[in-house]
Amino acid sequence: MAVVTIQIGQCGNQIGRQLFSTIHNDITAKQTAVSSSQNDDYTSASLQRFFRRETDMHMPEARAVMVDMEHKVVTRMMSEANKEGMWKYGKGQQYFKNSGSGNNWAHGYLVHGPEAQESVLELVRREAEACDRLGGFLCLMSLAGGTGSGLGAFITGCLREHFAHAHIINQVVAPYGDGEVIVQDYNTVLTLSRLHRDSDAVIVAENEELHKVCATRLAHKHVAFSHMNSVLAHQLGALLQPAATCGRACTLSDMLEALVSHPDYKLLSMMHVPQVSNASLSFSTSTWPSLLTRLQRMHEMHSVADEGFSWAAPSRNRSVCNLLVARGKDSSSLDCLPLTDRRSYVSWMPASCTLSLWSHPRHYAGLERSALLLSNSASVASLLDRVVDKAWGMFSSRAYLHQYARFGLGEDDFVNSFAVLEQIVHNYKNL
Amino acid sequence: MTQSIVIQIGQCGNQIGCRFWDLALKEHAANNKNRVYDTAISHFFRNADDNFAGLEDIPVGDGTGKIHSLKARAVLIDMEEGVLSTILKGPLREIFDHKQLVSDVSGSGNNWAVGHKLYGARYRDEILDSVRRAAEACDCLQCFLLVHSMGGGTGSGLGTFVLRLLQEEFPEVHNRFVTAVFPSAADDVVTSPYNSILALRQLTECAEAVIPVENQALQEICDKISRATTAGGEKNSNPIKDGSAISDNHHNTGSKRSEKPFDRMNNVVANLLLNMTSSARFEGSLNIDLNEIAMNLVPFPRMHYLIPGMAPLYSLSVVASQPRRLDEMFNDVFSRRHQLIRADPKQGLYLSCALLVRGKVQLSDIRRNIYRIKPSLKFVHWNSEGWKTGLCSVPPTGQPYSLLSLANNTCIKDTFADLVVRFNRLYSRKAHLHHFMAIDGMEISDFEESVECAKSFISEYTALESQYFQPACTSIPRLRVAEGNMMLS
Repeated sequence: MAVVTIQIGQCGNQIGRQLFSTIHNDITAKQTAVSSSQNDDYTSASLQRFFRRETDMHMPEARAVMVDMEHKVVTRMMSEANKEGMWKYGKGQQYFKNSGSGNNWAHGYLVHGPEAQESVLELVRREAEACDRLGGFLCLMSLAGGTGSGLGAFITGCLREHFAHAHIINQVVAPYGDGEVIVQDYNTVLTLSRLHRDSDAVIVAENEELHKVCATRLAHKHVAFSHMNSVLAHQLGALLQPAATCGRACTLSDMLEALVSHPDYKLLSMMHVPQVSNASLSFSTSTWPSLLTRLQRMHEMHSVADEGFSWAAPSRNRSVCNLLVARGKDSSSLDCLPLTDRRSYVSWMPASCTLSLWSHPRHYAGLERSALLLSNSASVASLLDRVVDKAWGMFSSRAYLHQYARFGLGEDDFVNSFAVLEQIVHNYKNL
Repeated sequence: MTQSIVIQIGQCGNQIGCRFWDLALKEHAANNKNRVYDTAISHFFRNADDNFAGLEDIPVGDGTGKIHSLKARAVLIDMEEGVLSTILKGPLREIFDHKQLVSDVSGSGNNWAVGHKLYGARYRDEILDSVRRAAEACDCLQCFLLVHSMGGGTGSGLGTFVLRLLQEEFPEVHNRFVTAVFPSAADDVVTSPYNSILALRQLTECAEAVIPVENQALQEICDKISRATTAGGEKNSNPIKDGSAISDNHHNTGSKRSEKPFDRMNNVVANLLLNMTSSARFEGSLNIDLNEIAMNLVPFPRMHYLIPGMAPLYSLSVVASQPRRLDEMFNDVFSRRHQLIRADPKQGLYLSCALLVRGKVQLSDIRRNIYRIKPSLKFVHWNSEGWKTGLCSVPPTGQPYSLLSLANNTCIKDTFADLVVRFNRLYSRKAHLHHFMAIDGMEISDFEESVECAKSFISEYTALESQYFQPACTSIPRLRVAEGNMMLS
């Protein structure tokens, strides 16, 4: 199974570069605690999934398409990959223009989108044809800017139209609540309304949560975007690297089957334990029960950071269904009891489908045992509620609307997008 | 890889423009030791190849070609000979192409009507030609930066004519940024209130964003700098580092620098332009393009006046400890003394605010300071987190870091109200009107409409301010989901 990654905008491209580096580092890791044949199976499956190369003598090339409206970031990411010298981006798999999108969703969606459509689809087709078996597409983008959000939403729509049966998963990054871009809430509402229609699953990561992980658990004094990107890439790697369930290898369709069984509930959130800084890596060990209890608590308190929440407060989260990916010794025979409490799931989900378990005995990223929870639950509603509230406040004052109208996005489009989002929030709140 | 074209009109505009080009060259020289023509320089300069007779431009390519001959992407317009000829004889003559100059002999006589109606009609084609030539030399033209004064005749009249021309002829380049120098109350030009109000209407209708600057405020800032340099004994021995862009001239004759009266003030405005465009030219972890500035700061099409505040105003070479100074810089940029117009943004209501940071500053420092300062500022209720931050890693010459704030704040209405009062003082007596009415095409309705425009503008800002105290009545409740279909409550 192969996954084609499409990196859109500054955020998407930066995360994508981190993701490929993380995966490649995992592939070439030495301490894996599995037999060499198991290791070989794993590494060749992972290489096949994310990279392609003509022969063993060549450097692996990422199965990726890089899209941006300015060239600075794309060129920098390519040179960073070259500097690492372990893998590289394929030549010609980049699409960039010069003008930027000016944080304007309408500019990205209605102007740059149609302009870029043919070229980008061509690049994607080239990658897809180079795969033996296409597992699906992973789109990396932000919600706040103009290119990632607008052009990203458009490209997702194109993918859905031209690859009708392919699986499309979007990893989106929500900005800090107190503002990186003033019109970020508009951009978020407009993007999510489109993605909910066109994508199969949308994994929502929040800058604020990632910041907390970096500041608290990883003890970075000055948290920069590169730290946060590396945390997110780490989580995505834990999710997408080879794993097995019930004796067979897991694919993206297994993921979607496990998590997105109802079309109204497509928004997912990710949590990963343990969270240790590189310095303390060699000093930390953990047991499965402790990891799972922590993960469960984080999930109940919807905190991505493994710190800063109360252990005694009652659970505030209800889930549709969850996916647990465990990596490390004895991961296949895990006792997931804490996470299968029937009361924390919706009543219309049969008990056998509430929690799926994937596992692999190999150590991931130097961690003896690690667990990732990908959850389809109500925790995402609070973020959306806040965003819709602020965006509606701006909309009712008619602020910034002329900037969007200039590129052809009228008030009706806004109202429709708000309607879609309100429906999503309502659905999740009433779980 | 975008480009901007600077259009400087009138005496004030051209003088500021020259300081800007001088400082920009210095900045690029300091950051480009290998003399390569890279994307940073290509934003404002063309790389002309003198070997070819037709002066063909050398494109950036992969950003490693050598610089042959830099030409500024600029159009210089003045209806008097004095300033332009000084420029063409001075050290900057190499970067200007004679085809980029539009000039006349007699000047506008401090008369907006002469600048706008008379010279506008006469030089329309020539100006359009120069601008088109500059635009064709650009791969991806992002923005027009106009610089002119509001009080004179050429700057305000012809300047606003050019603005209107750009709106008509280059509609796809909507980023028309105007740096307008407003006259102080003690201005020696008697008709400056007329010129300003007539020009203000054009700016409100045609510009994308206006960055107002007031001579009075600039004067106070320059006085403050000179007091800081001359006052005190050993403590302030040399707070301004040599080569610092704040008050340095290119005439570094060594002994006594012969400074012209407005030089220092022009330097400050030139720095403003440099800082605003720094992110578009250089690298940074959080880039802000010029079109992002307009997008984020202008919520309503007519309310596009962005009040600039700058810090530090002198070098930090006598710094004690860094973080304290950094926080002070954030404090300063919101204080009244550091605004480039005479207004106190803390008294007014913020619609939005942009902070453009240059130098080695961490994102966490910026966020920490925003948290700290936010409670003392009044933001409009639907934009309570209306901050746009940009981080450019290249500091200005001679300073470790700097901060520029562009605030869309209602306190600008006081500046306009002031202008209206001065206007009415003259208009009620019909003083000097005949000079304006003598020009073909000038009607009395121009005056009436312009002052009406200014007054309605002021009341729009006042209405926004009153909104601050009663937010509830202006907001519409959210859409509600009603079992299967949407219902607007």
